[in-house]
Amino acid sequence: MSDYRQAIAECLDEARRQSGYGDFALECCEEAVRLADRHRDLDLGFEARLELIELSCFSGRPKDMLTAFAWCLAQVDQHPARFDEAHILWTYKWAIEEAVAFHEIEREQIEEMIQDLSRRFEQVGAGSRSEYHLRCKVATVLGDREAAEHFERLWQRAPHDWLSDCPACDADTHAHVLFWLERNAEAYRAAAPIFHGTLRCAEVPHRTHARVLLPLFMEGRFKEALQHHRLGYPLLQNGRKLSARLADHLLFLTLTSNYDQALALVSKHLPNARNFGSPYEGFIFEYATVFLLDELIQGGEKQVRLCLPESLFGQAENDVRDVKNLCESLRKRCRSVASHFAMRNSNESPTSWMTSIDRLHREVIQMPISKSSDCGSGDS
Amino acid sequence: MGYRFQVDLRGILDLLSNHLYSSPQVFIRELLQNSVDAISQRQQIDPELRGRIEWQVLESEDPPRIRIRDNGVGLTEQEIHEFVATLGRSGKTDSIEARRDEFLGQFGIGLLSCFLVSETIRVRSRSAHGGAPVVWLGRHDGTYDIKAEDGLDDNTEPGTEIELICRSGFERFFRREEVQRLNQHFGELLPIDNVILPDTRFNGCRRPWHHSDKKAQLQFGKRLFGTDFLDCIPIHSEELGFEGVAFVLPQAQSPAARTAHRVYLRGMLVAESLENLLPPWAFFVRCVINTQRLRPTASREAFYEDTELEKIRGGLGETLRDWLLALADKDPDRLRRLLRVHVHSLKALASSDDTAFRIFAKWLPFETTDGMMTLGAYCEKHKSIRFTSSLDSFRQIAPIATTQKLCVINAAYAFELELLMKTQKILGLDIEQTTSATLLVHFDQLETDEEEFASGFMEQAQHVLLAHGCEVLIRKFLPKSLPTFYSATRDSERSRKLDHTKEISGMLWSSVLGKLSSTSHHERPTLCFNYNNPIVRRLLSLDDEGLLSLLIPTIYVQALLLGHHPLSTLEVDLLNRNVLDLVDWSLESRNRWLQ
Repeated sequence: MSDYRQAIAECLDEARRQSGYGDFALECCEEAVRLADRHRDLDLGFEARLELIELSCFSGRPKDMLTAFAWCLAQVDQHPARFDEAHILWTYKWAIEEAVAFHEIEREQIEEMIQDLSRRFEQVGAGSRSEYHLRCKVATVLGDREAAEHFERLWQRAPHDWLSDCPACDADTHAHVLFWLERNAEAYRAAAPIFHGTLRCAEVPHRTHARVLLPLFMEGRFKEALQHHRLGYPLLQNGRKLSARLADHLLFLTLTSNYDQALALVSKHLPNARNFGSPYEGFIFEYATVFLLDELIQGGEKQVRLCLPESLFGQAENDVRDVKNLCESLRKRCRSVASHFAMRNSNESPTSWMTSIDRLHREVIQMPISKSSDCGSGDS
Repeated sequence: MGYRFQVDLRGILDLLSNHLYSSPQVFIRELLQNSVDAISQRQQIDPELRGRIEWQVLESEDPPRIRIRDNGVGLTEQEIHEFVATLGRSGKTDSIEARRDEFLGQFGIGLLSCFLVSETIRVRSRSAHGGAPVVWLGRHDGTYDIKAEDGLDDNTEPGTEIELICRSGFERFFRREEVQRLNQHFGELLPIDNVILPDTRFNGCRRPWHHSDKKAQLQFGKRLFGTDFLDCIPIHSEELGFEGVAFVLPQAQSPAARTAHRVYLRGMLVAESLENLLPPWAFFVRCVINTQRLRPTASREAFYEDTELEKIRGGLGETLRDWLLALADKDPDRLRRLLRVHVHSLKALASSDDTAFRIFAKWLPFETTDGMMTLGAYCEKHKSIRFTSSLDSFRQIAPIATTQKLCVINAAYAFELELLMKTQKILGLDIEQTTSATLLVHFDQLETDEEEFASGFMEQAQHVLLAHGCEVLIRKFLPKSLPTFYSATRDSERSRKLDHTKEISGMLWSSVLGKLSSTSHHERPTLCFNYNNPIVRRLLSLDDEGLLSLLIPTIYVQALLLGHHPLSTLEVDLLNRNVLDLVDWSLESRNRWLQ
């Protein structure tokens, strides 16, 4: 019996040894879960899944993350004396964030999950800060401006507790919500400690560099935006998560007419955004790709070279694809996803976001980014 | 009316000692740095000046004292009020942006660090800009006295002398050997005469990377890191303002390992273990570099992650890459030795760099179903590349692939998939992912009469296994001893897991997972029966519906077990029930036979 325990420990060690959050680490972790389940070892199954929750969350596999989380939650509820709920409360926040990005999950279910989280947090003596923070973030996906404004106020006033997000994430999300509410000056102030290097964590400043790209660009602060692109993209480029933030870089490269780099970025990240990410993140990235392809079409391009898996995007000789066809199929897909979200959210927020992206075509400028400092291409 | 903040010096000192600096020993570095900066400033007026720093350690006095004297620019009384006695204001503030390259300090908190070990600090200084020498006496409680000496006619050279008087409990920092050790630690590479009186000198230290002797460089590496390195690589860029040496680690490194590097800023040690100095692929070396331009943080124990660091990282990456490429050309044996240990690093580089890929690819080893093989050897033997992208899938298909004479590469490890993609793009080889599902294609179809023979059984198997969400198939494959082959993709496995979790979850999460389950593509696993297997043949001819409905699910669950797939509660129940039924059935048959 101890053999499988040893094997599980080795799998988990191997997963922890891997750099970043790649497929192999995930597989090692899944193998550990499989071994524990095969031996019906709930304790090791729990331990391995805690690892899997983190790995799948940071490697952009929301569905796997939600499955592992739900399993742990079920164990905690069924065996309260055996499993400590405190282990999973932190990740409950991630679970809700991920669930919201699936239009299949209804608003009522989201509300129920937040109430469940709030109840559990209260039971362990944590305050409401995490709930407000979460509600605020959720409101941006649901396109609920009123709720975002309301909970932003509550969140900023609520005291920190042991389940509150780290200061770096806190500042980053705050900047995100403020940008979303078009309160840019406040958003830059919220992000300032991150850019000074005072606040950082596993995903910050990665996300924050991306968030400021479009606002800076729209304010004509091109050089600053370029700086954030150059600092931010390398931090994101090997990750599989944060497709929506990668979309910010893609939009920036298109807005500055750096089409080669933009295409390289699409080749690198579109398959993952489509295959594994949540529908919401995938939608954002795909529509940023539509924006690029539209721009190429306007420039007279008929074909484009994009290395994409045929299983997802159809056959292409030597990776050469018809720009119009690809663009239209992505647009159609985005419209369909947007309509699902609009139905779930009971508003037009995803569709109006698409319109706002369409309007950016008239803002495109020429600002070549030299290859040597290029971040968009993986090859030298 | 506006008021000024009051600052509690004790509180600030607590902040510095507990939160900013990692150890009180930094006071030596801060003193050195003030002196180095003062000398640089004086050299701007007097370029011929030979800078000199002298230390006197009076360890036997009670309490012990340390004195440090430099022939730098010195301070006037006004400057002492302004810079020494005002927190956060540096004498170099106005010129930071313009002349960052020339000064190490910039935060105005350097001298404060001396209070970490000293009750009283005495500064005697004479400015190069004229005026009498000034004596300043600062105390730990935040008070200070200052007075000008009557020494206008005094011909003493400009410069500053600082005396520290030991705080109780910090005597160890006032021992000569400790001062000597810390001077060596922080300042051995400073391009300035630095003497611990009477006779310990650190001046003129030849930068170890200027030695042409590789042995001497490796010895330096051993002294710094306590490791016998495999090799060393000179690194230098005038344009980016760095020089140093990269030591090749003697053991393989995991890509996740964070290699720590030692970084000097204009000769002063700033970071002993900087992690993000190199591009992510270069985890096979530890570097020691001296740089001109990086921006230290307030504690001066790390650097800001800014464009300068980014440029230096790029430059270092390029230097290491060029060295490796040159090695491939000039000394392939040495490269192979390096490759044996640091294959992951080389794979990481080749996966992100086309030129490096062209040169290294042929030497890179991969695990295949025919054992370990270099990519070069594989490509010579096979016209196209078959691979699995997961360890699990590799283990599942390896025994069958071998009997089917298919050589499959395990590309589950970091960077391998990217490398195979490059093989396709650059070398033009076809690549094909092998999964348990694609392997089914390689199994032989049955002849028409065989199909007919199996049809009744297959119909029933289909019906029975539909309840388990599993498709059925019958083919001929080797080895004969294998009755079935269960083919599941990762996606179908994940869907299975999602369904199992849904079964055990509470109402809310069960409904959430239900919604997610509806988004799955519902790729079903397949159970493939082996027509070559004798037991399967006997099953095909069995005309007993009752017994078959007992045997087929049992074989299915056994196939799951053989494939190391966890069973759901439902499947475990089924296995238990069926095994007991089979026991019961065989006992019954035996009884009947005995009668």
